[in-house]
Amino acid sequence: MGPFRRGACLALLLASAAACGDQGPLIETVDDDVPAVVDRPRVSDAPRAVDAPVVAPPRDAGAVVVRDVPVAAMDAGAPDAGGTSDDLTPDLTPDGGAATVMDVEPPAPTMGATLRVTATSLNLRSGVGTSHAILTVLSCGTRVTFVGGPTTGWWNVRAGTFTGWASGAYLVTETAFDASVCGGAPTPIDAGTPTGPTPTMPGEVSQMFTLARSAVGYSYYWGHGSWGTDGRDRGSCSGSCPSCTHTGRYGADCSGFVAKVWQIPSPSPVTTDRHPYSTYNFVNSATHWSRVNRASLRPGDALTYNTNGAGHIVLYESGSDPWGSVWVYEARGCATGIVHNLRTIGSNYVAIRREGL
Amino acid sequence: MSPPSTDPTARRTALLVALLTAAAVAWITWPDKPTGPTVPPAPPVAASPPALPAPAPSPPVVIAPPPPDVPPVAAPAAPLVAPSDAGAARTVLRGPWGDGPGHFGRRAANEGSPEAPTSLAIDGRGDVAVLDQVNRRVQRFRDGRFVGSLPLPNEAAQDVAALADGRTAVLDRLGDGTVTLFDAAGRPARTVPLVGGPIAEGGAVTGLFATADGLYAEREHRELVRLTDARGEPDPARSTLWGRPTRDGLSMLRAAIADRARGTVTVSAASRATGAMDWSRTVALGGVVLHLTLLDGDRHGRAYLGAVVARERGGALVDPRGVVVRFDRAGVPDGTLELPAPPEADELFRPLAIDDEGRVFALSPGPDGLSLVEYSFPG
Repeated sequence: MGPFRRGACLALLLASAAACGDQGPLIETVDDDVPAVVDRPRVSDAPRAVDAPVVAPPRDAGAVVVRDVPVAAMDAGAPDAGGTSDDLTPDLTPDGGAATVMDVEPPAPTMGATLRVTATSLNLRSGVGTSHAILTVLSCGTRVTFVGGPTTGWWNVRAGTFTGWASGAYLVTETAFDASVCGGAPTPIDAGTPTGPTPTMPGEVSQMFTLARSAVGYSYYWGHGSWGTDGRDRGSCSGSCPSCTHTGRYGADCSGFVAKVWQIPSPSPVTTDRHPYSTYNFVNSATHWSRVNRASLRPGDALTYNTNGAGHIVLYESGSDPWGSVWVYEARGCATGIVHNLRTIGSNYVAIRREGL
Repeated sequence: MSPPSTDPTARRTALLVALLTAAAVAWITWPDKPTGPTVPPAPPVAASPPALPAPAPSPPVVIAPPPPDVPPVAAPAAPLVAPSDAGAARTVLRGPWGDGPGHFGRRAANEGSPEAPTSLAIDGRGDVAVLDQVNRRVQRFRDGRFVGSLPLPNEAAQDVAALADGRTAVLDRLGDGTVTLFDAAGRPARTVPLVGGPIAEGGAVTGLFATADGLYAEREHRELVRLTDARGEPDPARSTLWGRPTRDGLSMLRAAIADRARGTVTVSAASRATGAMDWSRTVALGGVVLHLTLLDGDRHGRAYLGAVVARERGGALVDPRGVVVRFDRAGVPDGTLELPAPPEADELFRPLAIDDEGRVFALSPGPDGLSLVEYSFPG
């Protein structure tokens, strides 16, 4: 905000706060010299912050406006590096319509190129940003394959069975690799044998997914919740539920499926038919679960909605998809039964977490 | 000249009058919009300022530091102002919910995933194919009129692709785990299994694409796996493409959410001939990114990115809306469209499509039926 404008607004504030606040158009123009939240200096000793020329375009109602910010702001995915998500949008987008454009990358290697890790330990994450899960930790000298990116400094690489994102700052081409940077690090390991811990889950969560996996292929059965242990008698569903027809012993609807996987309200064999809760219960009560922020989902959480009598619930597995789809297990509907798939989650779904996890 | 008043009330009044006068002057002289010179478009990627040196890896220390994963920082390009426009919108067709010709099936499930048509495709003649999976069919429209339908074996299909020669392909990733190819007359000609090669399970498939050299299934919004050749014969090699091919045949596209909360998305284009990266660009879409909905290229070499964004308030996502950004051949954003809010509960599979000229078509479900709306960028 320019000094003149600031002074004028201050004057108006002194005279009448209401008079200033009523002037909508004044606060819709993107200001030149008020740093947006993403422009904040970061806690870092690296000279990352870049002063970008800032544009203050006119803001047409409903339009997406383009504006530049330093790239340093974009690489701070960790909550401790850039504040909370709540304070991100409003300053940048007073009317919810800002768009920022920037060049972000040095030249990337050719697709399929072999790269070497130059850091003692380098995280390979499931997505772009430090908020994503660590798939594995790569030792110095490890060979990986470049498969995509870059995205704000993160390179998409494959290391053995893992494909994820790592900082390009610590990856060099085979020809540029200097073995001395690894010092006394372990002997370089080929990408075919990734190092570091494999992804692990708490025992109970792992058990949940074992149950969920065992249900895949079983039929959708409205108002029920059971499945076999041998893949037999999967049942079938036809029609449009709840006026659908089911044949066979086993099957589950979405809420029966999640309640069984969560083993609530009490443990029971998967073969025992139970349907203790509907999506209305999952959304509107907190008997054996509690509401959590969608941004802090963990494997084993559920996403659910219930509006005007219609509702659905899915078991969240991971959010590694680059488009924001999520891997879920779900008793999706009569046509597909219980499935494991990548899908989008609508804005009205809320996240819930089972007690004790 | 009279001495200054010592009366506190009079001084306060004088101060207030002065402030109001200053404010009034400021108000009158204040420009409605910035009056500075027009900001020129950003130069192509090649003209970008050089990247800053990346931080060096931390030296070994007695207490092991956390593994480094903070990426390097590159300097941003010159600012760019894209033409912003709500977009010219035209309803191409509209049909009520139902199962007759030109009607569309919708299921607001009770304890299941709600469904409405999940995908559409535009062929080279401008004909529109809408996947009406709840009614087990693909409906075809020409100039907004129903011209016929292809019957499907079940209600599980999620994507449709139009081939240049009039054939149609339908993806069923969760029911049968297949792609069915229909001939130009609408008869099922061949069914190809999805699983094989890089595709470990049908649920990993995120799109079906028809190109001049065959049918491809996209895996996890990453590479495309070739299912058949141009004639529809299965490709046992399951060769892959790095990204989605553009309609000019020159490039492949990929997109990834860079930072969900900050609303940034990176789009990259690589040469289809050499595999070398042509450009990579990050845009901020002005809200929390829920998911991406479109990545395609027109015959002029322009790329299109679609997304659903929302605001995060108290842990909830509110005010969802659609956004489409167009990139020119050099990867410079040159237009944006804002689309209405998508359904809050329905799964979105491929709700947007573009035609050869870059017109954007969006499936728009409403309380009474489905509309197909065409959006055009200004200019």
